[in-house]
Amino acid sequence: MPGNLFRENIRLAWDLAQRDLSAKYRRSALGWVWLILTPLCLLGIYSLVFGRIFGIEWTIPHLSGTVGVGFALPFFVGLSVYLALSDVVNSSTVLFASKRTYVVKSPFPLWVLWLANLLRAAVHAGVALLLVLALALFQQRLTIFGLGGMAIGIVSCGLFVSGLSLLLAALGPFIGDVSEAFRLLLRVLFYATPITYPMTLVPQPYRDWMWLNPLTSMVELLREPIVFGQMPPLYVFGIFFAASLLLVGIALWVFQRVKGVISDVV
Amino acid sequence: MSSNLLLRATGLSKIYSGSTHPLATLGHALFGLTGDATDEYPVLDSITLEIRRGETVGIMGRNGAGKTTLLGMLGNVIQPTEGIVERFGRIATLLGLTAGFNPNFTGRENAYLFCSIQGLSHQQIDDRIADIEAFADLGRYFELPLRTYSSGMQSRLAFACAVHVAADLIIIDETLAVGDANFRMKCYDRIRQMQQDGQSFLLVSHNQNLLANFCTRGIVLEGGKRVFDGSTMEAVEVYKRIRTEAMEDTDLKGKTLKSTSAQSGLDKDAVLEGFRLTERDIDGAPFGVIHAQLVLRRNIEYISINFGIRNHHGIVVCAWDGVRAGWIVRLSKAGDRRDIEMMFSKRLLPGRYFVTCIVHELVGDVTKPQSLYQNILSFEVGGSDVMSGIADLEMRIAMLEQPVKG
Repeated sequence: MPGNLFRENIRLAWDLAQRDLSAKYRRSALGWVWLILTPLCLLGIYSLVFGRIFGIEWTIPHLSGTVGVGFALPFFVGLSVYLALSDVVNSSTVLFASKRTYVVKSPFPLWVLWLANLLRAAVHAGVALLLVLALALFQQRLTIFGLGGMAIGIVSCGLFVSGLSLLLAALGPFIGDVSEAFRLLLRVLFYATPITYPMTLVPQPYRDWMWLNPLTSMVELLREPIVFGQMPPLYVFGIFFAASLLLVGIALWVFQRVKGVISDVV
Repeated sequence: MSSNLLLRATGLSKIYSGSTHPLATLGHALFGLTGDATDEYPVLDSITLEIRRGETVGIMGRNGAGKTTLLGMLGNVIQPTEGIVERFGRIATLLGLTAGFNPNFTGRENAYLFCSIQGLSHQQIDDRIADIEAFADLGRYFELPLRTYSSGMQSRLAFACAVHVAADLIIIDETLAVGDANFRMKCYDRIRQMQQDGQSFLLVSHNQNLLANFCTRGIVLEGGKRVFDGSTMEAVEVYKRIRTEAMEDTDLKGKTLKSTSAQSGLDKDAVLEGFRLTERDIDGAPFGVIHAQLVLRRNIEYISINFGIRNHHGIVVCAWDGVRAGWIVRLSKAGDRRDIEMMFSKRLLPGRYFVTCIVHELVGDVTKPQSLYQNILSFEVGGSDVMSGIADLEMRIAMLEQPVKG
C-alpha cells in the first residue's frame, strides 16, 4: 500500500508538471517552438557580442601552442546550465505560495509539488541538452568518453539542484527576502561564472575565488566532457559531489521540520 | 468491529500563533524556539471522534468554529498541533471543489487533473470520464475551455468529479449541491445512491435541512470544542441554539450549553406559558391547535410570533412567520395575559413531530427575539406507511373503467 501510494504521487507529480508545461504554451501561437527558440536566440546574440565583437574563444593546448574551439559550443553549455539553474531557483522560492490552493486544499504531500516543479524544469533542461548535443555533433566534438563524463556531471548537478530547490521551497514561504536575494544573486553569478569567457582568461587571485561559486563547478563538470572530451579535475568533482550530498541532507532535514507549518503561513 | 472504523481522531488540537512573524514560526519548527506565547490562539481544542463505514457525518458550527480546520486535519491537509489522526482506508478530501481548475483547459482536461489529484490512475479516469461527462451534463461545453463557463457550470463539473472519486470516505466542504433545481435533485439522488452502496461521507454545510436529510450523525463545533456528537436532529437543535444565543452574546466561545430548551441570552420580556396541544375540526378537516398564554413583563409596542413544525429528521415541515403574515399585536402593557391559539392542518405522515415557537419584539424594521421554545411540544401521528416523505399529499391512483382504444 505505501509503495502504491508513492507511485501514485510520482504519477501525480508528472501530471502536474505536464499541466504546467502545456498551460504555459497553450495560448501562444508558436507553442513548444519557444522551448527551442529562446536558447537559440540567446546563443545568437551572445555569440555575436562576445564571440565576434570581443573575440573571446576557448582553446585547447596542442602540439605547438593552442587550437581554438570557437565561442558558441562552450558558451552554449554554460548558458544551458545557467538557464536551468535560474529556472529552478526562481520557481522554487515562490513554489508553495504560487500553488497555494494545492497547499491548503489538497491532500497530497507537499513534496509532490516540489517534484512536479523539478520535472517541469527537467523538460526544459532536456530540450537545451539536446540542442547542445546537436551543436557538439555538428562541430564534431562529441566522444563516447565525453558522453559518459557528461552523464556523471548531469547526475551530480541534478543532485545539487534538487537539494537547493527543496531547501529554497521550504524556506521561501517563511523568509520573503529569499526570492529577491536569489534573483539578484543569479544576475551576479551570470558574470561571476565562466559562462561567457573561459577560465583561462581570469587572472589570479580571482580564479581561485571563482571555484567557490558552485555554478562554476556545474558548468565545468559539463563543459569539460562535452566540449573537450575530458573530465574536470577529480577533486572538483569530489568536492562538488560531497557538497551536493550535504545540501540534500540539510534540505531534507529542514523540509521535514517545516512541512507541517507551511500551510499555516502561505 | 474495528475493521469498520475508517477514521479515528484522538485529542486533535490546532493552535495558530496569531500575529507572529513567519520567521518565528520557522524558528519554532526548526529549532523548537518558542517566542511570545501570549498571542497564540487555539482554533480547535482536543477533538476526539470516530467515523465508521456506512456513516454520513455532518459537522455544524458557526463561522470560525473550526469546521474547516477540523476537516483539513482529518483530510491530512493541515497538520495538527497536538493529537493524532488514524486513517483506515482511502480518504478523498474535497475542500475547495474548484481548486486546481485552470481556466485555459477544457472541462475534460480539468476533470482529468481533478481525478488525478484525488489519486485515480489514468486507467480509472478513462473508465469514469464518460460518467462524469454525463453527470455534469454540460453538452458541448465539456470540450471548451473553463473560462467560457458560468460559475454554476464550473461547480457542476467539480461536483460531477467529486461524486465519482473512489474512496472509502469522502470529505466535502462547501456547498453540497449546486446549480439549478434539476441538477440539485440529481446530486441528492447520487449521494443517496452512494450511501445505499455503503459510501461514507463527512460533510460540512450551512444548510441544516440538507444535513438533517443526509446525515446519520451530527457533530456540533463551537469555539473549537465539540459540544455535541449524536443524532442529526439533536445536533441541528444544538446548532440552532448556539446561533440564537450568539445573536445576543457574541462571546459565547467555549461556554457549556444548557440541555433544556435554551432561553439564555434572551430578554424574556414577552413569554409564552402553559403550552398545550389539542385537536379540532375546521371545515371538516382535522387541525392541530397549540394553546399558549402570551405574558408581557414590560410595555412592548409591537409583538409577533413565529411557529413551526419539524419532523424527526429535523426537517421543517412548515413554519409560519407572524411578521410576514401581518399578525402583529399592538400596544401591549406590562402584565397583559392573552390566550393564543396556533393552528395547523394535520396533513402529516406517520411519525413524530415537534413544535417550536418564537416570540419577537418589533422595533422599527428589526425583529428581536424575546423568547424561544425549541421542541416545546411533540406529538405522534399514526397511520399507514403507504406514503413517505414530508407531507401527506393524499396521493392516490386510479385506473379508468374503459379500456383505451388503440
